[in-house]
Amino acid sequence: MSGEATTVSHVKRKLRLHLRNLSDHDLAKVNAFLRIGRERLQCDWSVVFDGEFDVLMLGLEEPGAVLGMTGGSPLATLCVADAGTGRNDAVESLARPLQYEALLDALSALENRFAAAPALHAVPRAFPPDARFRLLRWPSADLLQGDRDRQRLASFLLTRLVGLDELARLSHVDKPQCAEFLALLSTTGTLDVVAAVPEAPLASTAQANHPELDANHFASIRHGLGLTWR
Amino acid sequence: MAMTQHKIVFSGPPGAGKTTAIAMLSDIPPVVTDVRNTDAGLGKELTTVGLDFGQADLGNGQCVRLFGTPGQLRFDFMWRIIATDALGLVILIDNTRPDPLDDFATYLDAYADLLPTINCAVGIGRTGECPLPTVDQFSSLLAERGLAFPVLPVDVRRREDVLMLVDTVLIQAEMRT
Repeated sequence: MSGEATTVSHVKRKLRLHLRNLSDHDLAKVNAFLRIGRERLQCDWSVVFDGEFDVLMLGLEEPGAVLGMTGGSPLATLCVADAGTGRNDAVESLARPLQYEALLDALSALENRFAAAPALHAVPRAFPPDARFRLLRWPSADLLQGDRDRQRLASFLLTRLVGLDELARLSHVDKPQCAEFLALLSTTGTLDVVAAVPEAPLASTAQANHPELDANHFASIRHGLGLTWR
Repeated sequence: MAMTQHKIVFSGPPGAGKTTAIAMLSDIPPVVTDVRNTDAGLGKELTTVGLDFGQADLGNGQCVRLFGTPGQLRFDFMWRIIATDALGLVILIDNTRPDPLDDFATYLDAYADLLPTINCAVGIGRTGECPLPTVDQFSSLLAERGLAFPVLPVDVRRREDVLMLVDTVLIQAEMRT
């Protein structure tokens, strides 16, 4: 068996960009910019013209007209107006003519904002049976909700790849609850999912200087400190 | 039988609650090096100029030694000395200070070479009085530096809050074995 991990997918969150009231010229530019900037963006952006969407890009003569005419319930709205027209601070604004850097910066800012908050519309994905997981960043406070189990589960996912069974065993949290949490994390774009052979343990300065540490020691430390919630 | 000692270090700016956090876990009255504070901006009578020390006896010849670093920036040369060989590092931030994110960045800079391999957790205090910056903004600052640690709101006067921070540190250590 190969010792190398096979990346099935870095879970790139899918985001749907609904374009409305934009000229054919602007539509073509947005599509081209997304295609060119795909590697730079953290999420997998797709353009839609109907159905559900995550971000609304709305062409306007006056940015101030945006409120009340967006429709749907987008996570964010980007309005596109001619340069020099008034700015509406309630929404993100892009100036015509559309510029590549400005669009990518705006989408990147939205990605960062969404990454810090749980997705409202994202659908949890099914994982391969041998999937292993690792968090790319600490989840948002909204997602953790001050829940001790969620905080502990997230901590187990920070240091190395871990499978569902191992996560449940180490954390003493029920497997369905672990699976539910992983599914929730997968909607935020912060969870790396890999189908792989086990990773070699990571060295740390702490372990290098504490070679005696094993599972019994950690149990002893927790017991001695009175860590009793699990 | 030789005693097995584990070291957990609490670090952070003045007033973040390092001394209190250690007192929450220590079996002995914490050894403190507090002196009368002459910095009116800190808003407290005493402040730590050396280090704080506490100890939790685990039985079976084991103990956890708890160290608190001095908060003032002028003692930053001590921070890394104290944190070296630690099982874990807890960074405490006082969200009512003028620029908590800048405070946090100062500690990330100070521990920059240790952070990729040390087990670390971040506790943000007094978020009730001062909800901004949000806990997520601290996480984002870590992410910008390619780091991911637990970042939790904390009231260091509550033992279970301090224990939760320590538990997340222990979890990281456990996952590295």
